[in-house]
Amino acid sequence: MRVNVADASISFGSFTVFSHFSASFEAGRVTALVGPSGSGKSSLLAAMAGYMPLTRGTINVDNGGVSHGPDADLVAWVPQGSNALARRTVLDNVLIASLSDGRSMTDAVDVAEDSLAQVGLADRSGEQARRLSGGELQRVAIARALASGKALILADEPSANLDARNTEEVAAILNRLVSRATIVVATHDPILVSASDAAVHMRPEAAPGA
Amino acid sequence: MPLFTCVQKRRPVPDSWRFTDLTREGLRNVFGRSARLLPAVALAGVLGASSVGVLALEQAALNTEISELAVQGRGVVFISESSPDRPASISRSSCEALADTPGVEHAGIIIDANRADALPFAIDAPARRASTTLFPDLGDVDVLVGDTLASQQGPFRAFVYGQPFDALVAPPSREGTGTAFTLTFPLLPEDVSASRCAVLLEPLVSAPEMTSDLIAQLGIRGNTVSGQEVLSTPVDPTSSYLSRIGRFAPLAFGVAGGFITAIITRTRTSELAVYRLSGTSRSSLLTLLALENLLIAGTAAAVSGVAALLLLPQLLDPATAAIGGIALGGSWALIATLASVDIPFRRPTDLAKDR
Repeated sequence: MRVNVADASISFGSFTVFSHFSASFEAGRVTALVGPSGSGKSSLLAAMAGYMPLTRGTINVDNGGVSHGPDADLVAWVPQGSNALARRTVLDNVLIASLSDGRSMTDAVDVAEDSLAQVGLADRSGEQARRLSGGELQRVAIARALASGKALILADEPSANLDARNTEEVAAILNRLVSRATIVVATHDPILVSASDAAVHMRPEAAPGA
Repeated sequence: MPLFTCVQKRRPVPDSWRFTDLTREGLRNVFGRSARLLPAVALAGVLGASSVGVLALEQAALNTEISELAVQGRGVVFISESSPDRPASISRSSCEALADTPGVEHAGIIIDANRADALPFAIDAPARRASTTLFPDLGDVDVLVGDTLASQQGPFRAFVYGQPFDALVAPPSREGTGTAFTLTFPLLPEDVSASRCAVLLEPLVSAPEMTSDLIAQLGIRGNTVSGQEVLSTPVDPTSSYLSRIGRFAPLAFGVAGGFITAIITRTRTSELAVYRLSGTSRSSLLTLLALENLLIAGTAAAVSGVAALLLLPQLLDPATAAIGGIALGGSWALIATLASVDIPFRRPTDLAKDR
């Protein structure tokens, strides 16, 4: 799945977050969306997910030759921080993604367990999520995105509050998932940027690059 | 700067959750081990039991008030001629038949008799004859002796008019029936009519509303008759009870419970974001929230029902408790859902940032 952003702008009232931004996010790659805080990375990601509209411009999602606008149904989102159902098990936290995909309970459990294995948390599946560290919760969020079966994974600052070792682990996991989904990571973390297949910079002085 | 309209095709988001799986999610979120909604469940239990407790207390107070008023003569109605100078005659059979009328405890005629001695207890005591439908104990003995005249326990012998009579101390009766200070004998076969018919109404019956119906059933000759209640209260306690503010307690508890549940739900928005960010549609999340609220409200209604069963002997009207339980649960679920209805429609990334 490829995502094309053309001449995009987002404004809140008189405040312009970014304007005239164009970029292409290639299928089957991890692309880092790079920029300083306040540059509009999260807003662009939200627009790509279909969670918020652009003020101007277009976003086209090229899905196997079919082109359409942003669609929340095609997106799994890895949030900044450690959002989780704190008092539910790790497995339950991942299971909601596979169940929301319409799978039967048996299939959903299989997919959720496989996803947890992918992020190295198979042995923690029965624990309450609140017992996990920040890095582990971030991996749970990635497992959830994986279990959702969505073709586009958007990660918003997934390394926020993580130390270097955990950040490297998250980067390695994301790189392993490119065969399953197109991944866009909004970040200004140099570890994640260097581990990505490509980087797209926001701000007028920066140009899209690979 | 060129300005053009952003046109983005949007497909409707399909609802892929199965209802049974959403129900399972709701059950775990509400009743799961250390679930964040457990305080709302506990509150549902407390308010469910309290709503019936309040009702039981109110009905007990009403019971006490009505019992006290009944002893003082409320619900004791004497039907007699409207004008003293134009006597009326009420047939015995029609008056005694009133005892079978719904809302009537006892009814019968009373005929004054000559004063009598009831040795060794009373000399020259007032005497009268009355229907056994009015004083059922007259079916077992020859005379009821007022408790101000004698204090024997159980049946005893007394000499009246020089003859031995099986007697019993009249049990406590309502004011105006006159049993406390008289000798009361059963009617004679020739007592086929009387000038007055006494009616003892059930506690919750209003005499002003009932009297005209009772009069209509009587066989009357001579003058017209009217009814007079021994103790007429300016405000009917039953009407006061039915219009009390406390009748809204289940509704108020439900509204309060609903708002508190909504507040607890709002502390979970960053968790609820997880559903949306994982592909759960707005409608599925709204369904999940409604299911959670129904489970909590259902708990309140169920506890209310169990409390009503336990307090059944104390409840005058179990139907009121049932209606209260429905009002409690219904208002709880409705308010909690309405107060949370915006959550599924907020931007998921904003929900995720709520703390």
